[in-house]
This record gives sequence, C-alpha cells and structure tokens, in this order.
Amino acid sequence: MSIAAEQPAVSTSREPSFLVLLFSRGSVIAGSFLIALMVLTAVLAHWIAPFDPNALNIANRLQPPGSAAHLLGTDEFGRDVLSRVIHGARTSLAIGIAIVAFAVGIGTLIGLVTGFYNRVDMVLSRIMDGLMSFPGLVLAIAMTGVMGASSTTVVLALGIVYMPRVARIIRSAVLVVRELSYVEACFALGATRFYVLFRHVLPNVMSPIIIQATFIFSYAVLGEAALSFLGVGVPPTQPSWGNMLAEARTFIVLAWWMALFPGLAIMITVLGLNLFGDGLRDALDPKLKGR
Amino acid sequence: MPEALLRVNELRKDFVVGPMFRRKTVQAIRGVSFVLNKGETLGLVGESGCGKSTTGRAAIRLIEPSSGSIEYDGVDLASVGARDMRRLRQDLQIIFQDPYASLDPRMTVEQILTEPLGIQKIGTSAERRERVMDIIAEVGLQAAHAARYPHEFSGGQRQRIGIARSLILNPKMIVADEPVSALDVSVQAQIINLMQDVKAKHGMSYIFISHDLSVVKHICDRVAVMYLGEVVETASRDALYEEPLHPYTKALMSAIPGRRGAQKRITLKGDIPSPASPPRGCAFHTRCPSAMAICKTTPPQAIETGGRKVACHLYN
Ligand SMILES: Nc1ncnc2c1ncn2[C@@H]1O[C@H](COP(=O)(O)OP(=O)(O)OP(=O)(O)O)[C@@H](O)[C@H]1O
Ligand SMILES: [Mg+2]
Repeated sequence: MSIAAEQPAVSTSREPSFLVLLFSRGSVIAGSFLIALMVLTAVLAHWIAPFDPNALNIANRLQPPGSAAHLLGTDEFGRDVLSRVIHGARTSLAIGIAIVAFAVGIGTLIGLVTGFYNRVDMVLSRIMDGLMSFPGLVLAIAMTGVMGASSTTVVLALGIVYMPRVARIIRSAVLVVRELSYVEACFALGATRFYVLFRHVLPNVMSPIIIQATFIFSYAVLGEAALSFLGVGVPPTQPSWGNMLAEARTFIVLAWWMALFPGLAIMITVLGLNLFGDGLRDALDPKLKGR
Repeated sequence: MPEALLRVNELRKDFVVGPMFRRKTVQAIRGVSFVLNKGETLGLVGESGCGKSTTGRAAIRLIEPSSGSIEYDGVDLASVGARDMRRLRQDLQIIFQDPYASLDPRMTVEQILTEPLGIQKIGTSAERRERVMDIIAEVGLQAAHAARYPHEFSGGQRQRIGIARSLILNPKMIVADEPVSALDVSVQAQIINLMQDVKAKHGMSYIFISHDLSVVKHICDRVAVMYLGEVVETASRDALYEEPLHPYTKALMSAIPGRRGAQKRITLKGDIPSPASPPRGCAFHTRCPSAMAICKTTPPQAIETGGRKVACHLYN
C-alpha cells in the first residue's frame, strides 16, 4: 500500500469521472472522431492508399474526380490525388506532433521557470516577448533561408514561433498557483524550490498545458501548409497537404480538385482539433467542475 | 519564570510594490518585538492589514525579514543557511486560513500527510504509513479518508487535514494564521478544541493570529495587539481583557459584542492609514481619542509595567 502512496499524484480516482465529463460534450465527441479519422488514415496510409503517391502516369494527367479508378482525380503528373492526400496525412500529422512536442515541451519548461524564479523571469520573458513580436512566418522563412527547406526546418521554425505563446500561458498559470497556500505549506515543510516546482506547480498547470497542445497542433498543421505552400517547407517528393496546395495553385482553373481535397483535409483536421480543444478547456475549467 | 522558545526583535518587512518607475515601499511590519514562551499560546490581534500574517511568516522565515533578529531555541534564525533552515522547518510549522487553497487538489490525504516525512527523510515507508494513520485518527478523521482527495471534504475536515500536516513532524511551534475565520461558527469551536487537545498532548507553542477577540480570549495565554505594523501592547490574556491600557486596545475591547459591564463603545474616527506612508510620531495618533501634542511628533517607546508592555505616551 505504501508503494501506492509514493506514486506520482495523478488523480486516479478522479480520472473516470473526468473522462465521463469530457465525453459528455458533443464537441469533444465530434472532435475526437475527426482526429481519429485523420490519425487512422496516417497510420494505415500504406494499406488504404489505392496508388503509390509518387507514381507518375502522364497519360492520365489532370483527370477529374471519379474517372478511371481515381476517386479524387489526378494531378499534373497523373499522380493519384486521393493517395497523395492519404500519405499527406502522415507528413502533416507527424510534423504537427513534432512541432507540438518542441513548442509545448520547451515552452512549458520556460513558462515554469519564468513563473517561479523572478530573477530568470526578468531576462527570459524579455527574450520571449522579442520572439513573439517577430512575425511568425517571416521568422520561419528566414530560418529556411539559412537551413534549407526540409521537414526538420519546418519543425524547428514553427516550434520556435509557437514556443513563446506556450511559455507565456504557462507562466501566468504558474503565477497563480505559486501564491496558493499549499505551495507555501510545502516550503514550510522544508522542501526545495525545485521540488515544489515539479511536485506541486507542474501537476497543477497540466490543464493549460494540454489545452495549449491541442491548439498548437492545429496551428502547426496550418503553419506547415503555409510554409510548404510558399515553397519553403516540405520538398514535393514527400507529399504533404501544404505542398499539394502549392502545386495546385498553378492549375486552379484547370483542376480545382487538386486544391480542394488537401484543403478539405486540413480543414477537417483543424476543425477536429479545435472542437476537441474547446471541449477539453471547458471540461478542465475548475468553475464547471463538480464542487 | 517561563522559558522563551522564540524571541523576535525589531523585525521589519518592507514589500516593494507597483510597476517599474512607480515603485513604492509598503512597510508591512515596522519593528515588531515579542517573546513566545515554551508551551504557550500567543495571540496576535489587530485589524486587517496591520501585519499579523507578515509577522507570523517572517517569524519562521517563511518570508525573509528585511531586518531584525529571530532567536529560536538559542539559534539566530536569520543567519541560518538554506540547508540547515530546511531541517529546522520540522520545528516551525504553519496552519493556513483558507482550507481550500492549503491542500494540493491532486494529492490524496495520505500523500499530503506522507509528503512532510518524505521531504525530511524520516522513517521507512511502513513507518511513514503508520505515522500517517495515527495522525489521521488523532485529528478526528477516519482511516478510510486516507485515500480521498481534498475536494471530497468539508471546510472543517480540510482544516483537520491541514492541522495533521502541520503536526506530523512533531513541531515545537505552530503559526496558526486565522485557522478558523473561514469556517462556519459551529465548526470553529471543534477546530479550536482540536488545536487545544493536540497542544495538551504534544506541548508545542502556538502563535495564534486572529481578529476575533472572543476566540483569542478562549485560546490564548498572552496577547500582542498590533496596529499598522507595530505591536502596541503585550499582556497576559487576563490582564488585557480586564484592563486594556493602550487606547487602541481599549477601542478593540469595547467593540466585542455582549461584553459584560462594558463601557460605551469607542468608535475610532477615520480609516487605517496606508502602510506605504505611516503617520509620523505615534502611528495611531490620527485616530486616537486621547492624542496629545507629543504623539504627533515622537513615536512612543514600549515600556514595561507589571509584566506587560505598552507603547503609548499616556504611560510615560
Ligand atoms: N506579498 C506582499 N506584497 C506586497 N504587500 C504585501 C504583501 N504581503 C502583505 N503585504 C502588505 O502588508 C500589509 C500587512 O499585510 P498582512 O497580510 O500581514 O496583514 P494581516 O494583518 O495579516 O491582514 P489580514 O487580517 O487581512 O490577513 C498590508 O498592507 C499588505 O497589503
Ligand atoms: Mg493575514
């Protein structure tokens, strides 16, 4: 039993009731459904895509949707749009996850430290303000100029752009928690600042961290699309929704389907993430929590 | 002769507040001195904002005093290094006013009560668990409560958990910062009784902060009355309630509802001055019914008369 007492303070007895609370919301159910759809598509891309996404078929180029086994038509090289959208889910979601991990991981750490250590705050928060006042896309484009266009560059560039937002939100949550008596009580028991920060403050700012993660994810999917659309993102050999849109631009009058379907995929993903994030935020709101 | 546990001398705490370029200094406490004897309950009373909480926290160095000395059991607390101070914290505990903010919502009662032993590295996990279950029983909770989360308890029960947490390291003194003022009147008495029971059993000392003079009369042995960051009068409970000396204490006493043989209520004129700019001379002169010319210019020195202390020109 005493083993159980030393486990991290994840509220086991509250979790079921929280999940029930969460999934009693229509927006959460709808959002989870859309996200699950996209994740499954990405994971099963190899098996469900009818064609090789890079297989050229010049004879069949620019076929409209529904023609000759190409459900969503073909692009200017005769590649199957459906297969490219399906494989694009892989790229876009993988990049999104990497950006979330980077931005939320580092942003949380910086938010914790700046919220808790006044001296570090003076310097680090000014740097964060500086980063935030810089237009995100411009920063990302500048980085691509230096590092060359690749998935890694996209992840680093967008990660750095979104990280200060996370840091700022976590910092303000920390500023609230650190004034609560249980934090003071812990100091009175002889705990170090480091202990208090990770044992009490971090677990109690988990809600804003999780909420931020879902919203950053949807920004990241959009951001990747924007960078790839501008030609500074994922190279065209690796299909992503963003670079599909970029190629479609030239053919928008001839072949509307080339732009429509990757666009729809982005829209569905972002919608799903935002629906889920909104519901999550409401469910985690202490004012709405039972008692 | 009672033996002193804690001697606080000329303790000051300034808070710097406000945005950059418009900084101002709030003098939360301005030279507070008192002695806490072993096994004693010392009351700290005064209006809101007079510096009671700051005094209680600075006395155990939960906030760093700006100046002054604190002698605890022969040790100069102010000069103890960080590591030694963390060890010493076993002896110096605190109970909070707000039973909702004082417990981490993500920990069970057992985790909350085991944590102090973990931080101070006391006992094996079996010993810790035994100690936790003992203390749970001692504060009037049930063993089944150990696995529950704070939100499953009432305010009074949460305060019991807070008391249990402060007791588990066997402290020598506990600062109780308005431990019952957030509770229903019916629950207040239970918590006060619990505090008295555990004191009778373990013999620690309390600094009991309150603005409720009836509660203070019930639980305290001696009382220090504070006004605007200073102690204006210190006396035994009986002496203070029989015959308050300081005009401010007199005013406070006259405001206790249902006091027998009460003289008519003394109503203080004006508001409490801001601790950012306390009045010159005696801080109380702006509201004092017996203010004299000297009070506007010279701060009164505390003088001892018959085992009690008072800082007022009337007695010089
Ligand atoms: N952390 C702080 N920063 C700035 N000013 C503070 C801080 N803590 C206390 N003060 C100020 O110091 C003064 C004394 O505050 P303190 O909390 O000690 O009073 P109190 O007697 O406990 O009042 P209450 O009965 O309302 O609890 C007040 O004017 C308060 O505004
Ligand atoms: Mg207070």
